[in-house]
Amino acid sequence: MSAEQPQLEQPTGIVQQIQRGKVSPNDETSILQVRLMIIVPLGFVLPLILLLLGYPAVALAAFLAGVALLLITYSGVALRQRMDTYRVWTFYALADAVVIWLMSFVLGTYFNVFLIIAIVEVARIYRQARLVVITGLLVAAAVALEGLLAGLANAGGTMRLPLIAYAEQPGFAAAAYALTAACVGLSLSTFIDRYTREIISYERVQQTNAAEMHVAHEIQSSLMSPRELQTSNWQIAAISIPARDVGGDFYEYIPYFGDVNSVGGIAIGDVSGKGIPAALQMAVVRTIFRIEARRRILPAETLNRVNQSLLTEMPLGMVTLLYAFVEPKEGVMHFANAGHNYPILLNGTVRELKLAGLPLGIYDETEYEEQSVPILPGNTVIFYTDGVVEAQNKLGEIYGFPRLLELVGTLHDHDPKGVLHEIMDAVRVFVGEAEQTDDITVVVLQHSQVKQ
Amino acid sequence: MSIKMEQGQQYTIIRILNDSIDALSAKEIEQSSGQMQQSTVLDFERVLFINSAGISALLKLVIEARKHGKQLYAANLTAHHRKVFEMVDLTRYMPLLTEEEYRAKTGR
Repeated sequence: MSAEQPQLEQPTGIVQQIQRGKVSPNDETSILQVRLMIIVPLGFVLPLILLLLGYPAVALAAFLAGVALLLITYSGVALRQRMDTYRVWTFYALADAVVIWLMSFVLGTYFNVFLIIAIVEVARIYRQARLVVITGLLVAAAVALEGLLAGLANAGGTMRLPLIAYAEQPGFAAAAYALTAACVGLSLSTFIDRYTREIISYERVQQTNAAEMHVAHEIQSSLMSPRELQTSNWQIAAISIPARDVGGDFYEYIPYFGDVNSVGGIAIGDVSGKGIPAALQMAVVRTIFRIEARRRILPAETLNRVNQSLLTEMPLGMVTLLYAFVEPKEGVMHFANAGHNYPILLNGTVRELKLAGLPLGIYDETEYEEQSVPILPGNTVIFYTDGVVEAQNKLGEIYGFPRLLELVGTLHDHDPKGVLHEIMDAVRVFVGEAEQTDDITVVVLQHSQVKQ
Repeated sequence: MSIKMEQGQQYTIIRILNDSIDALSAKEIEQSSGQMQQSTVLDFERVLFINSAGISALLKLVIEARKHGKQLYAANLTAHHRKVFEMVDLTRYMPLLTEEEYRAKTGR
């Protein structure tokens, strides 16, 4: 089949350059507009006025300055096809500086003070102190040369620079100030224009990022298991607060042998790092974990498989993961630990369920151990990530394990939501106005008392 | 440099000069592994914070060192980090030295 395809018009000129990424249409329009707004009055209107007032030499100088600035402007536009934006802005700054310097031959050496603007602009573009010094030395050399020439002109008589002679003529000062104001306006407006566009561009990027991060936060939140789960005599309450919009902490419930209404597996994990990289890794870890956890019930075996898969699929990073599996009728919890914080058992006493293990994604020969512990009616198990114990206050102190253990020792009579609230409140009070530096996740499992 | 390396008769001592260990400073320790003797002590006296990237890098370092027949020890850890090292099983690969053991091993 040879259906005739419509021929698309090939872009040419500026459109082609924009498509090649060498020219931004906004930059192009803005720079021309701003510079022409200054150059036209300076180089073409002002000389006419000066001519009418009877100052032909100054009018000629202003006209030449205008032509020079116009040439600089269009040279810059042409250079943008071959140079990056920074280099073109440097060209503008330096070329404008040369024009300002040349104008000082007409208007006097005090005019050189405005070269500071060009120096500042160059320094700001590259954010380098070294450039300020180099440019400063160049300017000093130029001023010295100018002083020497002016001195020779005044001393010798024969080398007298014709334009300097106009300094003594009436009305010259007004024209000089007008030219000064125009030149300074040009440099300053170029500077302000660029600065403003940078701010606008930055704000747009910030707005876009914020909107995208909000969506990412919503997606991640929707992927989390519910914050509460209640079956006949088991209850779970959970919370996860990322330090940024998205985070690397997660928790997960696995139904008991496919019974979605029954407590089975509970996992809590923490991917190293924060923000988007951690969130992306967390999504991979959760997916692998879900697949493996649904294949087998033994926590240690599940962690072994997840570790192998992670080392293959995600060679970077480290994940701590604790996986507990509850047998609801027997009141027993089996668990394995890949470097996560020890769960805390409240059974009349406070006991950390100490089982160490390497985090996932570190070592391919790791074999995880498993322990079992009875969770009797009235007992509570608290799982948490390091964001709880490493929460920092303004003094740089961490909340720490001792404070957490002391607190949970007072929570024997609380339901899971109450335990959760007490822990989060205590951490919030401790941190005060300090910024949250790490993701915080807490999951509370409780075997309810049998009602008489 | 965020570390200072001291070579003893039988031990290399690596003093960590930063108050926190992250992936970057752990990388610096890793880069010094070629100069480590058979037994090396990491001195954490000045360390107040170790983030998860730092823990991850330390774990990989000690496991790699062990594969090359080197033994690392940790000294002067805070109570908080002793517990963290224990939970992530780092102490299995990098045993903690008490002050007395540190002095006895290094003669300091």
